[in-house]
Amino acid sequence: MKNIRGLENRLGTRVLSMAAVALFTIHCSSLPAFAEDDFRKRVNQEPESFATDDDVKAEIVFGRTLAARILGKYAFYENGKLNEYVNKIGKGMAQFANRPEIEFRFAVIDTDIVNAFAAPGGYIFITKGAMARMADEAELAAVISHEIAHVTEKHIVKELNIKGTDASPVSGFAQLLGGGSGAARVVFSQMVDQAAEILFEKGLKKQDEFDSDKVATMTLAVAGYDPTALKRYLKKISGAEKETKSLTGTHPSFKERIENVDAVLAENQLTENKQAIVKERFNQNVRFN
Amino acid sequence: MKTFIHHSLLLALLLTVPLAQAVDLYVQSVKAPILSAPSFGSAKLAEAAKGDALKELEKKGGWHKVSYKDKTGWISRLLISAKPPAGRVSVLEGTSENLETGARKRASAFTTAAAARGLSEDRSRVSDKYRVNFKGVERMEAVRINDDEALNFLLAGIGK
Repeated sequence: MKNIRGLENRLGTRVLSMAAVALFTIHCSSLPAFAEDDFRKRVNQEPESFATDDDVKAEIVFGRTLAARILGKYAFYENGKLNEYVNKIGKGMAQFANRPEIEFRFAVIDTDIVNAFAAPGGYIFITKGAMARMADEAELAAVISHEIAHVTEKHIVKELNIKGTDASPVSGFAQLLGGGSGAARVVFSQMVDQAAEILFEKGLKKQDEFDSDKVATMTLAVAGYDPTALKRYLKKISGAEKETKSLTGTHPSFKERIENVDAVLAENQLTENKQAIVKERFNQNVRFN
Repeated sequence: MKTFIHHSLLLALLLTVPLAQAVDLYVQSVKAPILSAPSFGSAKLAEAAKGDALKELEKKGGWHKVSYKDKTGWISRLLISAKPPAGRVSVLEGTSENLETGARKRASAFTTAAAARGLSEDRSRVSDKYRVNFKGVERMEAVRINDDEALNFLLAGIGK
């Protein structure tokens, strides 16, 4: 019993210290721009330090709990054929990313707002509104790849400093779900709430969005889809920016995002690169009742 | 003279360090183009597959110059890692400490208390601020499409 209490106390302390870091990070994100934008390792910098199995488990547990909040806010869109199609393209595109240890899962959610969400651990959501504005499969693959990149680049994981291990070989988060103390569970829930706030209200850092756009554009090229698909999609929805009522503040404007994608395309000599758009199959599978 | 020899030896040692540090990189993506220049639009010299080992020769921004079989070319850091590709990590099944079971057991303990307060099970489990829907997540996880099926579908569509 003493041992169990000791474990709970250790977990509680560890989770509280993680939460303190997270709160500090979130607080700092309200400071003027740039200072907060570039302190992390970015695309094109050194490879990541390796995550342990426990880190990945913690990420999945955290992401799963965040996914439950996304599906608490937006209902599953009931369309088996569409969901199967999105999962096939999603799971296909995920294999062109650099995190084979993650099983990516996809769902279409029933809202007309134009948006998509990624929770750590590979839980990805695309709104019906976003699907309705896509013209072809390359655009779907582009949006999916942008969300996959938030997971592979670990944007939320880094923002909230989610780890399964520190000094101890036992994982904080993973143990927590196996039966941590009540206090530790409350702190865990509060951290997931903070992640939900990032997704629904505050937005990720500008640079995170630019990085995901960059990775998505490059991944399209590797897979064999039209690498300009993300740019085409962003241009299209930029006209409906007000309608999306989505993220403001730290979220970059569509104009900035399109300029960033243009730079990526030019850097990689992909501007005139003609590859597959796959319109017919998209139209067969993406129909709204 | 002695100092000169000492410095020369030191210099020689320093020069050999980068060679000694040449690392193996491993392809993480299902396939990865080895390109003639650090740009996705450049000519494809070879195509490496998931798990293939590459010898790093040089690094430039997000690109690594590597040797692969008899070719030397560039690969994006987005497709590789310094460790061989890991197997799937799961918290849902196959582990001795099944966290889901743990979570469900706890949920049912909560349910009793929640029922007394007139709260739904899901609502009582976690957030005060957001509604949660774990059943929806389970549905998402129940979709069974394996990697090969998804990849073959995708490639058939783009004509590869």
